[in-house]
Amino acid sequence: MPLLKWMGTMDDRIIDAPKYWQSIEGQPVSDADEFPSGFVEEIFEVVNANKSRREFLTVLGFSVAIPALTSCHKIPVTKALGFLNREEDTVPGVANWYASTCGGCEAACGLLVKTREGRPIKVEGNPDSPHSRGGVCAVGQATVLSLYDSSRFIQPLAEGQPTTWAAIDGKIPELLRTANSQGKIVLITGRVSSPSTLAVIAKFRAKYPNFEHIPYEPFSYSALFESFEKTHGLSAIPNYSLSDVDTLVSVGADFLGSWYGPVAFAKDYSAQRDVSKRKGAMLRHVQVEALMSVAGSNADLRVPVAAGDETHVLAALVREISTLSGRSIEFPALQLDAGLLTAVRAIAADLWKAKGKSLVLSGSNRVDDQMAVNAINELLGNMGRSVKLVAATEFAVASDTRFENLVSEMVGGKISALLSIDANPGYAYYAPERWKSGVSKVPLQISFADAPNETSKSAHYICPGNHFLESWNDHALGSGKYGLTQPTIQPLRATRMFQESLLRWAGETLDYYDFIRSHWKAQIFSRQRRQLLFEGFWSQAVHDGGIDVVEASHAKATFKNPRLNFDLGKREGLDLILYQKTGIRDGRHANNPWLHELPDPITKVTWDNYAQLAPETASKNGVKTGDMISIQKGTIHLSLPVLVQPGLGTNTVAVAVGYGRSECGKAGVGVGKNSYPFVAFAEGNYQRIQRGVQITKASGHYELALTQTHHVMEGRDLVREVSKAEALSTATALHSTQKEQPSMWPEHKPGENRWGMAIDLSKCTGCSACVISCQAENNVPVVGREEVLKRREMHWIRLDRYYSGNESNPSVVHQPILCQHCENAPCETVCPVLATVHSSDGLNQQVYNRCVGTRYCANNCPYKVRRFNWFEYSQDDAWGRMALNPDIVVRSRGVMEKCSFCIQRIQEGRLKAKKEGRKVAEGDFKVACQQSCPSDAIVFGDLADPDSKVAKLLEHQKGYQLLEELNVRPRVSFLPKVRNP
Amino acid sequence: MKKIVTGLLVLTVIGLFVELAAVQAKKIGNTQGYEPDQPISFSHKIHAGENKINCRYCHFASERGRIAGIPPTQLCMNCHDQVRKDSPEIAKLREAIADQRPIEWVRVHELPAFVYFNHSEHVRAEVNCQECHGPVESMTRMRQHSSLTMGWCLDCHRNMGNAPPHDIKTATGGDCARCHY
Repeated sequence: MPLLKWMGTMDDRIIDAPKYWQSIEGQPVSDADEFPSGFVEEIFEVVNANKSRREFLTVLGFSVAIPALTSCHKIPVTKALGFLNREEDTVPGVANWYASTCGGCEAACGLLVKTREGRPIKVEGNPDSPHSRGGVCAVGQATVLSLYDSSRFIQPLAEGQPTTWAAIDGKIPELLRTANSQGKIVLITGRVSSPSTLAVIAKFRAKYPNFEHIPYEPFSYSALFESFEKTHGLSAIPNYSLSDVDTLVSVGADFLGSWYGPVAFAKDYSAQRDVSKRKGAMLRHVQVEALMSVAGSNADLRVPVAAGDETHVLAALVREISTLSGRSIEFPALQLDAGLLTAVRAIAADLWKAKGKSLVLSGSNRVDDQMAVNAINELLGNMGRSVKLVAATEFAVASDTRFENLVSEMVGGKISALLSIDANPGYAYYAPERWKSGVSKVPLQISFADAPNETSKSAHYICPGNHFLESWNDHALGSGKYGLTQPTIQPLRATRMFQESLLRWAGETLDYYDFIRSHWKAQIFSRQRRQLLFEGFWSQAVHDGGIDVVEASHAKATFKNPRLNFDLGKREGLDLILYQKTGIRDGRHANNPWLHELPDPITKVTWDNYAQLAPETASKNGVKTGDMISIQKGTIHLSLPVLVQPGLGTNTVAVAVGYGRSECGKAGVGVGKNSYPFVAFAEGNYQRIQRGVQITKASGHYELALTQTHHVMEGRDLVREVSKAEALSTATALHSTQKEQPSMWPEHKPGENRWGMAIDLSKCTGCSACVISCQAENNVPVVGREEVLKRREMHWIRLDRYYSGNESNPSVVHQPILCQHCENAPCETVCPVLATVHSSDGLNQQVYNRCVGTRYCANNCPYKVRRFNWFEYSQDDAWGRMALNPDIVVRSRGVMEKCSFCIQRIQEGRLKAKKEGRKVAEGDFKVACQQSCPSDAIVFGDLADPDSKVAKLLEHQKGYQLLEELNVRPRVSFLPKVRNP
Repeated sequence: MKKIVTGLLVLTVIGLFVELAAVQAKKIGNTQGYEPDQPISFSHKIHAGENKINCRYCHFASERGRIAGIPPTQLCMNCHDQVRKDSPEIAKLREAIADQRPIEWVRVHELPAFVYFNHSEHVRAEVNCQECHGPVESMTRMRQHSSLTMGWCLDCHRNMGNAPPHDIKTATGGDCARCHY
């Protein structure tokens, strides 16, 4: 099927239609160079009269300009391409929404994908999704751009040469048969939670019995998954739920940033910390960690420790809990720091008080650490409540030991075929030389990657898979819930779902869609009672994005005391911790410029990775931010710029993974450095925390592209904090102190609506989903590292991060700042062309076509939320342009832009209400940042409507505004951050 | 004498300049009267005029959203599968479907990208198609009847007076971003 051209493709040829255009003095003007007859002679006559070259040029200049100017009332011809064969539901100009499931990571959050003219342009959370409940993280929001990645494979390749699927399907099966007889065929995937995919793999195995499926995750949870087998006798996946938790202790697990499923955590976390809703109860969050993580920045109590001490903390915690519970857990005695012991004792007491309503998490990849956590949760009575075990029968989880064995077998020449999808060991494996030598011994390598990567580089056959937005798939979510992925666009290129390739080569005739249906009919439909007929059941499931009425089969878990070992050997040098950034994660999204330009929630660095050092460590080594250091462990070394990070654990270096890609599209190549070689395989798992690391100061300086270099509030109370008691009191003394100050401007006449926003600082975790959501919705461009260095980043909403307290363990707060839509806007008064005006419903409007680029408005804005297009940032990549939202203009060079309160959504909502003959009501629309926030921190609505959520919120809790003393009267209010000491 | 001639010439040049700048320049971007040749000689006169086919049969998108849209080729074939099968123009339709290639119509009415105009809002308000698009049912070749300039839009909005359910004047007065965002 041909690729449908976007309507309105510009044709650059200028076509003249002399009969029908206005002309100069009755003459047709077909060319800018042609003047009406007699005109040129007149010019020369004037010129000759004066005999001066300068005057000639002056007159000529004027006269040439006018015909040129007037002949440009011709505009380029535009073609309008209608559909050939319109799909019933696709109406040009009207968006269609499809329920699907995100493939940005393994959390499988439910999505509602907005499509226009048959292509997806925006991703939102599906409120009906049982675990994500309408939230999507920054990575999920950015996946819509990765669909249009122009580096994606466009067709299958055989030995680097383009080929067809028919040719592939003719050749590969016989190659596989040969491989089957000569050695082992191995399929490496990411973590698989799709029952249909596992069934497809089973079919493949039936055809080629000498086969193994090995899931691989570079930043693996294999210790977490293995631990349950040892402590509870079950091969299981944990499903966490904070919905009934009062005390949460996380040891190194960034559960709000990148660990395991941040969206699901964020929803309940914010609900449990809503003091007013819970009438005074508030979830208490303790974070013990080396890294300053997103989760840690929100903790009520944060205990920074050296990276290598996280294990010791767990040891101490296990001991304390076992003492309190009276049940002893065996492990050899351990010397622990006295200060740490006191802290752990207090934490243990807190946990014990909240028995049954607590949760302990660990980000460690040591099995013993996770077994300790399981023991703690068991003793606290959390099993079956905040931690539910889901039998791993419908999952294939990564096991680091199995992968290590695979590499050994590869080196030993035992693997005859390697098929890979969603796995990039060519980049992320910690011993690249070993991988290379192993791969060179595999005679048949097939990659299903959708875009070139380090693993597909050595593949003999590229059979590119679809992006998840082009695919059918299913997901087991545990506890009888299943999600579905449905395609939102025909495959853009000649790609094919990898499951389909496997089915073909296994000799099956069904395509993957029918396969999923038959699998669901047999395995899932039979377990539910709501629908009698399969077709009805299937349609409902596709419409909803999944199903959650299936009877769950719970396996019995019995706890047995584990034998634990926390001895990590001699301690020397520094500890190194490798972590995932909220945007880039394990490196799979390295070609997504949105995620590179997303400022890290804590460090605010874009476009690079770096070595984080605590201020004490940095000064001890005589380095400051930007200085280069060389990190060394054994034979592995890496030189990186330093970033001094307050609150980082002592004696620790922290480096993000996922950078330094060499084989990906142009956005990701060469950005940062690859830190995966520091991973070590120890105790059966890939360890991300290393001891015995040395750092030495190196020569050179590197400017990190930070978006926030000013960390002080300069004595202004930009962020207000209150205690729990103060938050509950109805006294308004602490809240808005804005007295009615006199204003020299007349009051705006009230319109039908008064749009306003309330941002709850207690709920904002800093996850940055709003930033990417706004970028996707409003066509906000990416500017690149050099421009970010000049402070020219374009994000309409930013998260300011402030520290308070002492440098070694600061309190952190995140504050989203967007255009405050001031009633007495300082920007409106200074625009010489009135490009920024105030609407009758309270919006500060930016009219792009009037803007001449004076930039006086940005100068005058006290909140610095205005963004100027210094260059033509709009994409010239034909693929990337497909991600643009057609409802909003793409700004060109020289135009100022800023948050518009998603005026296109307000218009849509207003129109919807108009068509139904009523006023705009709550729920007619949601602005982008509000819709994507997993914590519901942003509430937008009509302040003129006393029943609206935002009006009620501000009435009872009375938010405050920023810089009230300026009397600009912003429409955005902030609810103070509630601390829970 | 020379001075008078020079003076007159200078005045002519200035007058020309003013005429061009003030009058002609105002017509920049104004494509009123544009009547291009189309790849298929589709005649609105025959379809909308003689056969009285409702505008919204083909331009159904005008009721739903911003754009009225060009009808999909398949819609033409609803009738032309049978009607005037042998006409060379209809053959072009069949060829397009056979080649799976959309027909490249030349767009007649085009607003700049920074203008927001929503057809469905106006259709809902029962504004006749002919009010803006002119006597389409008499056009053999589609022509842009109105100037589609901002002044022209505002003229109508200002003159409408009180239209239920609310006053159109206030709806668009001063709120630049009602149409420019």
